[in-house]
Formats: sequence, structure tokens, C-alpha cells
Amino acid sequence: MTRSSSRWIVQRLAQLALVLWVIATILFLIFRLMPGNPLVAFIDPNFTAEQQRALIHQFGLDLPLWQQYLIFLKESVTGNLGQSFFYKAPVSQLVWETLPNTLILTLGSVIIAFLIGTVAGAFLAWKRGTAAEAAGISVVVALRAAPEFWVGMILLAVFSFSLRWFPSSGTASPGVHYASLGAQLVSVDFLRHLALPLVTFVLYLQGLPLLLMRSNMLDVMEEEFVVMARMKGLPEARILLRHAARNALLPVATAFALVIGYSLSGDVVVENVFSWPGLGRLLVKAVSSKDYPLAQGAFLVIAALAILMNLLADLVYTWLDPRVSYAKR
Amino acid sequence: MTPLLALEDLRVEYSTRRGVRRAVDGVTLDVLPGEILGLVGESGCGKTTLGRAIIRVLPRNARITGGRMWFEGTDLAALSEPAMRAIRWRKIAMVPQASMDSLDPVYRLGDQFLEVLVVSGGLGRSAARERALDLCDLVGLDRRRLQSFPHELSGGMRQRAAIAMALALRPPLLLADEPVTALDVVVQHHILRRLRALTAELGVSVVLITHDISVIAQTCARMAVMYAGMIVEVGSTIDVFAAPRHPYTMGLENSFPNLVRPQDTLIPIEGSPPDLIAPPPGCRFAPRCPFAVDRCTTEVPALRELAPGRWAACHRANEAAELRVQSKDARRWQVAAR
Amino acid sequence: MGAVSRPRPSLLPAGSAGRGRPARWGALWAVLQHDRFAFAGICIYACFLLVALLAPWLAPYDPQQTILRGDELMAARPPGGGFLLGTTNVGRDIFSQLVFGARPALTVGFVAAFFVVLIGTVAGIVAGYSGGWPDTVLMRLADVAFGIPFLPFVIVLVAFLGASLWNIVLAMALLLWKDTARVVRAQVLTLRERGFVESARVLGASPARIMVVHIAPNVLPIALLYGSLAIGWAILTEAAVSFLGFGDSAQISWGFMLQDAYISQALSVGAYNWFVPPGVCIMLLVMAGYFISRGYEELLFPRLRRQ
Repeated sequence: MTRSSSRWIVQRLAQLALVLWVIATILFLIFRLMPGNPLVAFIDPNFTAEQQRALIHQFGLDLPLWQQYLIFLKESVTGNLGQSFFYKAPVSQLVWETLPNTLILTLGSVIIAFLIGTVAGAFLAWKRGTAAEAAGISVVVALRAAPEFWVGMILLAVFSFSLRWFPSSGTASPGVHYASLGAQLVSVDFLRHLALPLVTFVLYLQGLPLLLMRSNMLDVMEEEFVVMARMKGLPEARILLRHAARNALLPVATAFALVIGYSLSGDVVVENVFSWPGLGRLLVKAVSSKDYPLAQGAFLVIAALAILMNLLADLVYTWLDPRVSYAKR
Repeated sequence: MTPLLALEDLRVEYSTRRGVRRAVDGVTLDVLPGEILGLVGESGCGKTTLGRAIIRVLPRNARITGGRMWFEGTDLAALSEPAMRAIRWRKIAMVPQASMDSLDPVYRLGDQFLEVLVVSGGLGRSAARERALDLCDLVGLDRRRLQSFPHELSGGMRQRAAIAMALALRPPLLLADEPVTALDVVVQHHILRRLRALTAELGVSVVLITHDISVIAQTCARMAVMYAGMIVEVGSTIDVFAAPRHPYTMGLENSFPNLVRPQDTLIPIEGSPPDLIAPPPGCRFAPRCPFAVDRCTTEVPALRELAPGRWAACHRANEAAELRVQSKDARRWQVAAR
Repeated sequence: MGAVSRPRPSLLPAGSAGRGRPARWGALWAVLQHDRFAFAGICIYACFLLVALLAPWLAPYDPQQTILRGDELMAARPPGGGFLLGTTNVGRDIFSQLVFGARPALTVGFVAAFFVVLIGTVAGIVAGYSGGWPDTVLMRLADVAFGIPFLPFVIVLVAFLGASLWNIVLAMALLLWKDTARVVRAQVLTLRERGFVESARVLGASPARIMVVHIAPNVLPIALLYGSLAIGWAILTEAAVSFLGFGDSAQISWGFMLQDAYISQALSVGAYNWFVPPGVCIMLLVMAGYFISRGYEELLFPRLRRQ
């Protein structure tokens, strides 16, 4: 790796750390500025007086605000995100357990949505001016406009409750155990549970890559080098795929980062519709039951995830486009 | 000599929102084997459309609406698309304007050469690689440039690459559309010289399309002048320059700086080309012509052979000698604009 | 990027090139008439606005009221018999809820969009015109806003500040201004170098005056483009937040209806009359926003090369 590219990576990591720090600070302030007793954020009222004293001491809640802040930062960085009131377990452990489910659902959906979206977008561009295109666009816009949880509800009602093709919640049927994560991922039971949330999510996410790809294809097909390719006697299919689509794909790749960013929002909702035990569902449960440490921890990890995925998406883009050099960023 | 390409009353139209634009309106022209034919005209005269029509890659809203294009015994205008695709690049290739955009930005130069050689040319991969290297040598391009991406090449390099690409399958006919316009004069000179050498060496015919008559003067033995979708003059370059027979050509010469025959001032042709959606009746140049008479505004002058190989489309072509003298007077041209 | 070049935005209608007068609204009207989709979008908005305004007269029942006929609770009735869309599982009229649901939807939509556009435009103008540290600060803030996942943040905020429409609006205003700001800033950067701005500067106008009088009107069209998109985002956000249970329970919104249906097992009994209509309404309203913004975008970024 060249010196400038490693410098760029370091820059981005620093940016990531900065954003995380800001978010953590905001969280800290929210809890302290919240109406009511700030201690509530850390201490379950059901604890005994002695337990409460111990916790106050551990988190330095009797210390000045700025010292609390430093303790908070230190604890967060070392992975100690507190204790969940509701589950009576360390927040970091709960988060760690649910993280894979969220990753599988979110990353899987985004990747599939992009694959389907770009292919469909290129196809619609190719069919420009036909009735098929008009119909396709209407369907895509409708899906973009529809609330994703509502689509999920309809799919649930039809395919799960009515037709009984798919289960209605969770990641596993009762009593099923897996030897490892890998075994779980390929088991039919897991995939059946994954199917509906995945389809819902993909239907929601595909709109942006599709419309973007279509728009880019229409632009690229007017470009000089595409006309030249035709003059060179190359077959149309080759021109569309290896030249037009390849170039049209670049801005779609930048959208990848954007979509990953807002996919985590959609993920929260999809997880709740299908009772999919991921970070999003954890967050909502935590907030509903006033389990502040868990809520704070879940949110922090979700934010970190978003930023990390953003960074990865940027890396993919720079690899795809030979004209972008690290130095220019 | 039988021509390599014979255009017969070719017509190309664009459908636009405002109406049908007759961009090429009855062009008859021959291209002889092994020659470099210059085609000169101002922007919008239809010369680029003509080039695109020959290779049959026109924009979506353009169509060939009449005439024939005889090439190696077949009428290209009537050919089916698959048959035409077989001809493209193998028999007729184009060197585009020296722009960044004619090469795919995400593929290396070498890969784009290989693509043309393997897919269009049917060569095996190793034969293609050999040929690619030969082509670089042919145009004077550093072989290492095959590893570069288009945006890493200078304008001159790109143009050499474009010429190499066009010659890749050794087509008998090359269409060069403003091949050196975007380059500086020194590079222009080198590229044109190389082009001349190549055509002599390979026996390729070239149609050199440009708005710059100095390029024609330097490179072409024979030239044609195009105006408003029609050919107005054809002849050997020397004769057309020394003794133009069409007022437009006379005007063109006046408006270009000339190192050999010094002029005190450049005389531009006043006015602008006609709207090709509703062209004027009669001669298209009449509104700007200092020598127009009544007949010019009603009757379209036909392209007539005034001497062997010497054609002009002007009702007053017989008086050309006299008109030439008058065309040196700047005031004539100012009066002309109506 | 070289290969996929975007057409330059043209804020000025053809013919007034270079003079820098504010974009003409008449041109907007013309495009809306020309583009059928945009026109349909306007019609949909108009319909829903009317419904929202006339709700008390259009709805046969109070949306919160559990309806009794004689002694019998009209629970889980299918459509028909006086109930256009049937009733919920506790006997509330679905149609009435649907009609009244237009109110919180449009309120949140317009108010949130207004603030998002306001903050985004101001930030974009200040950042773009001033350059230097205001620009850096604002763009860093935008980067942070980019890093925060939207819905989780809204949930956290709403949960801690209380569930009300205004907190949803606040959360949106805090996070969604960045897109508008980025685009406005880019626009301002090009405008800044234009003739009419130069001459204003030379004549001694203060930066504030230039920003308000010269830059703002030219930036407004693109800001409004994002505004029409923001209305859709706002409605979807409110629906999602309500669905998750953090919504304003004082008002029956469409999102609330969906949540109600979900937790009342409407899915398992197949009560499509309950949970399909609210989603359709949301979908229509958001689609309308897209259509209008697309028609509008054609005006701002005319695709010259396509027929």
C-alpha cells in the first residue's frame, strides 16, 4: 500500500473515532440532562441501598460532572457499557449476542438489494421508452414510498399466518440448537426464519440502487465511448454489460455507503415486525422498559456499526474507480 | 479507378421537437482507394453526421432517409444491422475527435486494444497481444502506455492510441472526424505526418473531416467542401485552394490566416448557416453569398463536373475566375449579409 | 467524474442567462402542468389536505370512540353495515381513524420539512458563502450527523424527551438538515463567483445582505426540492416511530393505527381492512412527494440529451 493510501485510512479512522466520541458525548449529556433523577440512568430503583452505593461509587456518580464524563469515556472504550436492568446481565454481552443477527439481516439485505437493484436498473434502462419501463418505475417508486414495516406486515399476514409457508418470528423454531454460527447460517430452519424479514428489507432497499443505476445507465449510454464501442462492431450485450454498466456502477457504489447508513434505521423497524432478535429490537425493548444502560449501549454499537460500514463502503469504491487516488481525498 | 466508397444522393434526417432537420441533404461523393480525402465545412454543416452515417452509428433520433452508400459492392444504407456490425471496424473504422471520452475510463488501454482485436477481429489472445504492440510502434506510441488508463494519457498520446485502435483490424476505409482539432499545433503536425505515412504504407483510404482547412492543406491530396448538408465543391486540394469555384470556398480562404499568401486582414463570412429544419429555397448559401443572383434563390444548383475531377455546385461557376478577384474585396462580403 | 457527467443545474429559465435574477416560479408551474406525474402528485396532496381540513365532517364517528349498538360492542366488524372499513378489535371505526389520521401526517410532514429545509438552507448558505471556519464547523457537524443512524436516534430522543409530535419534529430537524445543507452549499459555491454577486460585493453590500438578498432566492428552488422530499421522510418517520410504540398517543396517526393493528393480532386473523388502508395512505402521500420532486428536478436539471 502506498504511503498516501495508508495515510488516508488513518485519516478516516480518526474521523470515525471523532464521530463516535461526539455520539458518546451526546448520549452522556442526554442522560445527565434528562428530566428527573440522573442516577436513574445507572441504578435500578430496585437495587438495595448498598448495591446502589456500590454502583454510585463504581461509576463515580457522586463526583463532579467532568470526572463522570471521563469515567464514562474510559468505561465505554474498554467495553464496559454497564449492566442491564431488565436482563441483569452486562450490556456488552447482550449486545454481542444480538450483533450477528443484525449483521446478517442488514448486510445480507443491503448486498442482495444492490445486486437485484443494479441488475433491474440496468434492465429498465435498456427497456427505455417501453410500457414495461413505466410499469417497473411505478412499482419501484411505490415500494420506496411504502413504510417498510407495513410491507412486512402484509407479507407476514399473507405468507406466514395465511399460507403458513414461513414462521412468523424469531431466528429459530423452539428447541432448535446449532453447533456453531456457520451451521446456523446454512440450516434450513434459520433460512426460513430469515426469508420474510430479508425479503421485506430488500424490497425496501432496492429502490435507491435501482433508480440510481437506471439513471446512470441512461447517461452513460449517451457517452462518447459507448458510441465508439458500437462503432468498433462490439456486440450490444457486451457494450451494455462491460462498458455501460461498469461505468454506471461507480456512482451506485458511492450510494452503497449511503444506503448502509440508513439501512440500520430500517433494520430497527424490520426486526420489530418480525421479532428478529437483533440490535434494533434490543434497543426498542430497552427504551420501552426504561433499561437505560442497555439502550445507551445498543445505540452506541449501532452508531459504531453504521460508521464502520460506511468506511468499508468507501474503501470498496476507491478500489473500483481507478481515477480516484487516495491523495485527492 | 473504381471508388472504394461511392455516396449517391445520401440523405440523413434528425427528428427534433421543432421539426425534421435535414442534416445531410443529397450528398454525392466518391472516395478512391488509397487516398486521403479532406471534407471541410463549418460546425453544423453535417460533416460529422455524414461520417456517422457511413459507419451507420447515428443518434437515436437520426435516420438515413434516402440515397445509397456503395462499398465493396454492397449498399451500406440498405444493410441489416448484423451485417453492418460485421463490416464495422473490419472494413470501416473511425478515428474520433481528440477527446478524453472516446475511451472507456475504467479499462486500461491494452485491454481495450485486446477487446477490439479479439472480439471484433477474431484474433487469438496471444496474436492480439502481438498486434497491440505492433500498433503502438506503428503510431509512435510508447508500448508501456498499454498499461495506462485513458486519463493518464496526454492528448497527443490518446490520439495516437485512437489511430492505432482504428487501424487495428487493417480496414480499407478510415473516417477521421476532427482528429487533431483539440491538440496543439506541434502535436497536430506530428500526428498528421504520421497519418500520411501510415496511409501510404498500408494503402488505407481516409476521409479526413475537419473545419480547419489548414489541416486539409497539409494532409489531403483531394478535398470536398460541405455547406448546410450539401457538397458544394470537390477537387484536388491544390486546385481548390488556388482556384476555388464556389463562393463559399472563396470565403473560407479569406477567413483563414495564410503564411504563404499574406493578407492584410481576414475577411469573415457574415451571417450564419441556414436553419436546416426550414432551409431556404434555392442555393443554401445564397443569403450570405456576395454574388447571388435571382436564380440562386429559386433553383438549387446541382453539383456539376466542370473539369475532370473538378466539381462545384454554383450557378455562376463559369465566372469563377472573375468572382475570385471580387472576393478579395472585404466590402463585398459585408454587403452580402441579409 | 469524467465518464458519468451530470448536466449542470440550470436555475435560470432559458433566455435570462447570466443576469442572475431569481428563478421564475412561472416556469415551475409550467413544468407541473407538463409532467403528468408531478401534476398527479399535487392533486394527491390537495386531496389529503382537504380530507385533513374537513375531517370532522367526513368522518362518521369519533376515531377514539368505541361504538356500541344497543348493548353490543361493534368489535372487529368487517367492512359494511355503516362501517366503511370495518372496526378495530375494540370497536373503533377504522375509516374515521383513517380520515383523522391525515392531520398528524400532514402536520408532521410540513412542519418537519419546513424546519429541515430552513436549517439546511441557512447552514448551506452560511457554509458556502463564508468558507473558512464556519464552513469547516458546519461540514464537520454534518459529518457527525451523517454518522448517527436516524431512527435509533429518534427513538432515543423521543423516549427521553417524551412521546409527542414535536419531539419527532425536533429529532428530524436535528439530523436531516445535512442533505439539504450539502446541496445548497454546493450551489452557493458556484453562485458566489457569479457576476451579480461580485457587483454586490463591490458596491459595498455586507455579507449578510448578499446572502439574504442575492444568494437565498437563487438557492430556494433546490432547497424546496429537498423540502418536498423531506415531507415524505417526515411522514415515514412519524409512522415508524408510532409503530414502535413511541408515538404520540393523544392523536390517532396512521402509524398508530398500524401499531394498534399489529399488537391486536390483526395480522393473524387477516384483518386486512384494518392494516392495509393506513399504509396505502402513507404510500400515496410519499409517492406524491416523489413525483412532485421529480418533476421539479427536471426543471432544475434538464436532461438536455434525452428526448
